[in-house]
Amino acid sequence: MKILLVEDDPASLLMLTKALQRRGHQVIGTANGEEALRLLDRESFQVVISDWIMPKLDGLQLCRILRASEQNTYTYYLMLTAADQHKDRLMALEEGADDMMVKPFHLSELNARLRVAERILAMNEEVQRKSVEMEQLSNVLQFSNRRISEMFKGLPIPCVTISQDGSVMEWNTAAENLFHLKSYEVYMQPLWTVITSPRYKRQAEELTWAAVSGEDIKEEDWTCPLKSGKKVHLLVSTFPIRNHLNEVVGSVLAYVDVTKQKQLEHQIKEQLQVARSLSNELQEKNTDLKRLTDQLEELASTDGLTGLPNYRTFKEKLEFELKEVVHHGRPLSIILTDIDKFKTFNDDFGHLVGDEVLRKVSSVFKTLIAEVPAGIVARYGGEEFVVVLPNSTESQATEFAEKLRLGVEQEKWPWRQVTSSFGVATWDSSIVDVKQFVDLADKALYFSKENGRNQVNHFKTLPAQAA
Amino acid sequence: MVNLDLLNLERLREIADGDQPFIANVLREYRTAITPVLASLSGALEGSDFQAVRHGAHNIKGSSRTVGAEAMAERACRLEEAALSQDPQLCARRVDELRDAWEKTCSELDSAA
Repeated sequence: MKILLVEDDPASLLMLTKALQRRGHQVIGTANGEEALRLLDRESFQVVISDWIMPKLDGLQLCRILRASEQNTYTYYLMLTAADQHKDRLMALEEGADDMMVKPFHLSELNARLRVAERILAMNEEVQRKSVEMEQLSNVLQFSNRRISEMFKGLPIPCVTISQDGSVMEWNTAAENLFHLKSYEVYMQPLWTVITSPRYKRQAEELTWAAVSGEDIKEEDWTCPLKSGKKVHLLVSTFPIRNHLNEVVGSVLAYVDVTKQKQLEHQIKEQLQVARSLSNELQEKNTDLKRLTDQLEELASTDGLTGLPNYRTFKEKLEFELKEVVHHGRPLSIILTDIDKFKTFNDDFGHLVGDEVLRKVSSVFKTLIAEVPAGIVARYGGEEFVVVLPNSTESQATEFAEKLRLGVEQEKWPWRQVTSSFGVATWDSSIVDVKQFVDLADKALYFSKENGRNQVNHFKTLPAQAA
Repeated sequence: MVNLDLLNLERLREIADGDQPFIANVLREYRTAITPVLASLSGALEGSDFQAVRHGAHNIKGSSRTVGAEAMAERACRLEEAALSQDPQLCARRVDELRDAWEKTCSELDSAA
């Protein structure tokens, strides 16, 4: 060890120096306290062995000054004196001396006391080293704490930490903005008392206790009426805070504000409901419209008196069937018929009877045409009717016309016998259009009328002058 | 009075570990240091400066104990106590006793050297 020896008695100084050097210590000796102070100021010593009573600056004063000036170092102070009173020893120890040795010193005792000094200095050095380590660790922890604290504060999600009794410990900026409360206003307050009004505190309290009991709550939906009266929709998640023994000592609560999303959801639901009711209304209107359209179409295509298809429908049907003829080469025939001497019914029995005759003839035709697939009977105009017979050859058409003629003839007529004349035509490649086709049937009808009425004639069978 | 050794060099020899010049040097230094202190005692006593008497006695006691001048140490100790009582006659007697011991010790020192 490096030892500063302060002794005003030259013999003692010599003997101590010799004794210490023999033990391998580095010794610097001085005869007075003032010089010792200068030396201590210039260099460091591990041990000071000092006499007590010295001129100018005694050992006690030197010890006091040394202790007052020490900062991070420690110097072991051994007081060596002829004063052997109990009170002297106490005084020296009170002033900062570590040990006392009464003169005359014994070599073995001196060595033993220096070994104590070595042990204490080594321990002190270890304490110093640990202290530096602790300080460094403390700095790291402080930095880490500060960083975590800053991160927590700056999290974009409102977050709160609570202790085991539910008191608020930390409250980040996002939480301040959500709940309109500053962190100093809520610090150490029970959480449920600060985030909602007393009327609604029950659920807040339940959530708090669930959190501090260590429950891991994930996005629990919570409608929270704030103290301000504003209602917010929150998704609450909790995470337990545990100590080194894995015991729950608190909890982190995170609130995701989904108020806007909820409002949008609500708006979308309302709009969907409106859209659904509009859709139903539209469907109803469409049904009505379809019914009206059907009615209109029926009116447009049906003869009002007889209920048979009208002339327009006949033309459309004939044109359609002609296309079929062209495309598929199927036969097609038409029949024109006229109630014989119909004018006299009106003249003799009135128009109402005339109309009734027309209805009854129509009824006969309707019954018979029902047997012909795709065939129709239409009112051609006045007392004239026209029959379209798809897939009917000349003979089939003539045969059907005969059925119609018989149907009219055999019907019971209350006023007088009613008959009808018929002209049949069948499509062939020599016919150029609809008009010509109808004209051919009309010529056959005309021949039936001229030839005595109540008969059927096909255009093909007419005498040459009639055709 | 207890019969004490005038000069017990056992401890000094232990420290010197056979270094004779060192022993001689220590004894010389001792002698050089004690002589003026002893001389100053009479003056201090005449001026009734009991603090100076006590201080001088204390120095002699410490130095004497260290080198093994046991008779000197014992008498210096008695003078220190007398100075504390501030009794001039007692102090004067103790100074005389101390001088007497010193003379004998010096003879021993001469022999030792």
